[in-house]
Parts: sequence; structure tokens; C-alpha cells
Amino acid sequence: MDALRLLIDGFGVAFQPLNLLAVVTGVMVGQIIGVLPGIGPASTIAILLPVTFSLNPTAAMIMFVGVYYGAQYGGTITSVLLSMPGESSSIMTTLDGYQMALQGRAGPALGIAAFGSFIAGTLGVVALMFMAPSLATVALAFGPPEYATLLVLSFSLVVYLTGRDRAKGAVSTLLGLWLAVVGVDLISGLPRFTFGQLKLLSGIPFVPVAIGLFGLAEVLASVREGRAGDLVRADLSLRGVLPTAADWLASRWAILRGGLIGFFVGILPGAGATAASMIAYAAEKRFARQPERFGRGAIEGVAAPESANNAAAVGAMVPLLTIGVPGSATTAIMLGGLLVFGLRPGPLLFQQQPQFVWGVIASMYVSNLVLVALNVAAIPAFVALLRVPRAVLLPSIVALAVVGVYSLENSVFEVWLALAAAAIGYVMNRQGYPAAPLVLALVLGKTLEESVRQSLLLSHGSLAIFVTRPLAAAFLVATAALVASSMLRRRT
Amino acid sequence: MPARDRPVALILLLLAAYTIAAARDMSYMQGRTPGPGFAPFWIGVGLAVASLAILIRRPTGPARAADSPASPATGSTSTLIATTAVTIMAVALAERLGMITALVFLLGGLVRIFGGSWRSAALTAVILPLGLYVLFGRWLQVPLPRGPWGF
Repeated sequence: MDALRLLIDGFGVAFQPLNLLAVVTGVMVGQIIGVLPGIGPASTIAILLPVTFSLNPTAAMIMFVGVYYGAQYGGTITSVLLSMPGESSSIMTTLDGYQMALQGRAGPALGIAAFGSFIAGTLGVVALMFMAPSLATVALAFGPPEYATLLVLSFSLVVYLTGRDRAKGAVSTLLGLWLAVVGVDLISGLPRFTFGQLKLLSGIPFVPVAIGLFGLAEVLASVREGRAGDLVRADLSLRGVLPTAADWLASRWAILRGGLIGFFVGILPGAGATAASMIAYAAEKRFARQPERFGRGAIEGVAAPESANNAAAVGAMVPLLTIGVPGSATTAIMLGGLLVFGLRPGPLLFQQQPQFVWGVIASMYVSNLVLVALNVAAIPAFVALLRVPRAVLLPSIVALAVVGVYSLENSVFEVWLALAAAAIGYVMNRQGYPAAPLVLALVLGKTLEESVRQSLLLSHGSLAIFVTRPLAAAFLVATAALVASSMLRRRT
Repeated sequence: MPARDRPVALILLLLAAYTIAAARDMSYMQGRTPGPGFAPFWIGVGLAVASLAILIRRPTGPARAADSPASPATGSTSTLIATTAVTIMAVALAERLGMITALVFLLGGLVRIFGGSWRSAALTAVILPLGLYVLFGRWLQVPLPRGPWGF
């Protein structure tokens, strides 16, 4: 009942005009970038960060969540009409969505994706609402050893789940940790890896690195990618988009199962919406009476991954809000933004900033409503965006990134930093090094170092503190199991 | 290991060696607690192990981009170089010629490089810097660098 009372207060926050505007803007921007291949939610949120610094943290976070939500659905439109996923989390949707479009059923494919996203997203928010406060209460008992071992487990999970090449995932994480130690060591006052640059004494700022690594590097990657395919002609009127009763009947379990899988996979660090959509699709195919229909235009093949990717976006908010550990690049960038605002996500946030937390949770319900309304009524408008020439779009992203990064400190130094990060990001992308672990490690590296040092300070230098405290020991055992399973898998 | 993995793995190994060497100059332990060199030392060791693992493993086929769906590479290296050069030049000129002028140069140049018409280049190079000036310079009150002509 307490949660319901707090949620009602949260709706009071979410319905404030500025926050409502932030929801609508966020969802629309997310949709737009989801529709336009080549730039993802992480890049968009990174590029938007400087703009949102003029807002209050609640409105900024509400906008980020809207972008995250909107992007998950925006990618569907290109998947169905062009067989080209706007987001990696929409890859599975292309399999059946495009086939449906070729059969003249693009409208119901887009419709079921919108309604499925709405239902699964809303159920996800309900789960988040009841789960997050309890998790936050547990997390209140965390001391430095628990945080240190939890972070080690999170990094291991991210390496385990992102990409095929775990050695490269580990390198990416370690590079992020390396960047995190740059600057003056707060305990001894010794500068580390600053190479005589005064600007680096306070450490490597997160936002320019995120903008370079995601926004600018994605532009560079897009330069070498070609656009192919023509839009499939489709009836995208309100009537054409509404699924039939038979479509609903066929998709009902796919939506529920996809939502459930998406939410729980979303909670895991590193798994994210892409893994969720893939698992949901595979599960649906396994449950199907006629699995051979999948890949040939089965509506369940659209409903399951689309429900899963939206529910995963909600699930990813659970570790971010309750323990301050983001599970994906997008939530890591959100965490970086909140830190700039002076907010530290974690268990205390529920006690100290209830208006913020519950305002954001309530805004997720509103985001879902805005999303379904936009996608049932305004799909043709988003389809029109596909006609924006790439020659104009990509330079515009670069210009926005350059001015945005400059505005952080009113200094060109940060812009050079972003360009360097873009070059590194481009090489990483070409060589198959995932960028997400680097960003996560950059955001959390300092916390990990501080937690380890505080733990050893508490134990007078004894490493036993990490195995004698039950939760810390459990996190270490889980990490060891993960590493062992990864090594065994490689051998077999 | 695909041959193209080797140069990057070697660079990473060098970075690891440098990190371990630099960490040894910092203090590893201060009394019974970790000093400023503790974290860099272990990061260096981890980087060395991971990059060695990439260097010594058996060939497994071509490397693939892990984060993005596979897409055909149709753009040319010259486009990439031109994009980088124009961006670097624009940033280098931003403080001397002003941010708006640098953006005009950046946008005009990039639209042409990406195959846009002169008309698109001119329109983008005028409208977008103006929009960004209103957003950042006016609305967000960011003191954007001004050039010799006052903007």
C-alpha cells in the first residue's frame, strides 16, 4: 500500500507540465533515433546530456527513460518495412516482421509491436514498482566489501554477456578501469596518468568519452555502411495498424512470455534488450505448435521480441535505481548524467529522494501510454523520417555533439577528448571490441577502487573480509562460477 | 587469432607493460591499505593477460563487430579520412574563427563529403548552426567562442 501511495505522489510529479513535456519529447526523440539507423539510445542520451543540464534532474531522467523506451520501438518500423533494424534489439523483429510486410500485413505487425510493447512495458513497471523498494532495502545492508564484489560480478557478467569474444570484452572493461584511475588519487593526492595535463587532474570526464565512443564513433561507422532496401508499401492508417482478433489470440502468450523474459533478462548487467529479444524469440519458437511458421511471417515472432525489448528497458532500471549499478551502456550513461546532477542512484535514493524515484517510475506508465498513442496514430510521420538524407543527418549529429561537448566546460579540450574517444570507439568497433563494458567500467571504476580500499582499511589489510561476509562471498562464488563456465564452454 | 587482431593486441600489451611500470613508481601499499599504485598495477596485469590471450590463441576466423549488426562496408576509406580531417579542422578553428563559423565549415564540408548536393550543404550549413546558436548560445547561455567578426 505504501508503494501505491508513493506512486500516486509520483504521478503528481510526472504530470507536472515540464515533466510531461519531458516524457513526450523523450519518447518522440527516442522514436526518431530508433527509426534512423546508425545512432542508438546510448548515443542519443549521451548527446542530449549537455542540453538537459538546464533541466532539473527529475525532468532529465524522465526524458532519458522516454528516449530509451521510444528507441526500442522506433527500431521496429525499419525492421518491418525495410528489413533493416534501427536498433540491435529489433534484429529478431525483422525475421517475421518483414515477411508479414511482404504478405501485406505490415500494419498488424507494427500494431502488435506497439501494443505488445505497451502491455509488457506496463507489466514491467508494475514489477519494478514492487521489486525495487525491497531490493533497495536489502542493498542498504551493503558495505564496501559487498559493493566491491558486486561490481566485480557485474563486470564479469557484462564481459560474459556482451559480444562473442570474452577476451575482447575483458580488454574493454580494463580500458574503462584504466581511464577511471586517471587523475589525482583522492587519498594520497598523487596524480596518475595525467601526462602533465592540468585538465586531467580531476579525472577523465565521462560525458565527452560517452559522446565520442557512441555518438561520434557510430557516425564514423555509418560512413562505411550503405543503406539498402526499399520501403514496403503498407496501409499505415489507424484501421490498418490495429491487429485483428485472431492476431490478438495468436500473440497473447507471446506478449506475456516476452515481457517476463525481457524484464528479468533486463535486470542482468550486460544482457540488455538485444539479448532479451533474442531469448524471447527463441522461447516462443520452442513453445510454438508449428515452429516452422517462424521466419515466414508469424505474428508471435514479432510480438515476443518487441514485448521483451521494452520490458528489458524497464528491467534495466532496477539495478540502476536500487543499487546504483547500471546494466547497460544506456543506463551507464544515465548514471553518469545523474552523478553530474549530484544524484547518486542507490538504496538511499528511495529514502532521500522519493519524489525523484517515484516521479520517474510514474513517468514510465505515462511513457508507455504516449508510446502506444504515437505508434498507433503517427506511424506515417515516423516513416517520413526515413526520407531524411544521410548526408544531412550524419553531419548534424557531429555538429550537435561538438557544441554539446564544448558546452560542458566551455572548453575545446573536452571536444578533443571526445574526438579521441571517437577514434578509439571506431577502432574498437572495427576490431570487435564491445564499447559497453568500457563505459560501464569508466563510470563505476572509481567506486570499485574506493570500495576495495575501504574494505581493506576495515580489515586492516586482510583479504578475508571478501569471503567472511556472506553476501560478498556469494558474489565472489557467482563470479568464479561465471569465469569457470566461460572457460569450460570455450574448451568444449 | 585473425591476423588483424595482432597489432591492436600488441599495442594493448605495450599499454599493459607501461601501466605496470608506472604503477610500480606509485605506492602499491600504504601501511596495510592499498596505495595509489594498487589499482593501476592490477589493471595492468589484467590487460596483459587479456591481450596475451588474444595474441596467442588459435585462428578462429575473421573478427566481427560485437556491438552492431553486420552490415556491408560500402563507404570508402577516403570518405572516412575526409570526415575526420574536416572535423579536426573545424574543432581546431573553433576558438580562432568562432564556433558558428567552424560549424558552417564543418556542416558544409561533411554534407558534401557524404554526397549531399551543394544546395543541401548550403542550407544545412546555414540553418543548423543558427539553430544550435539559439539553443546553446541564447537558451542555455553557453559562451560559445566568437571569431574576429563578432560571432
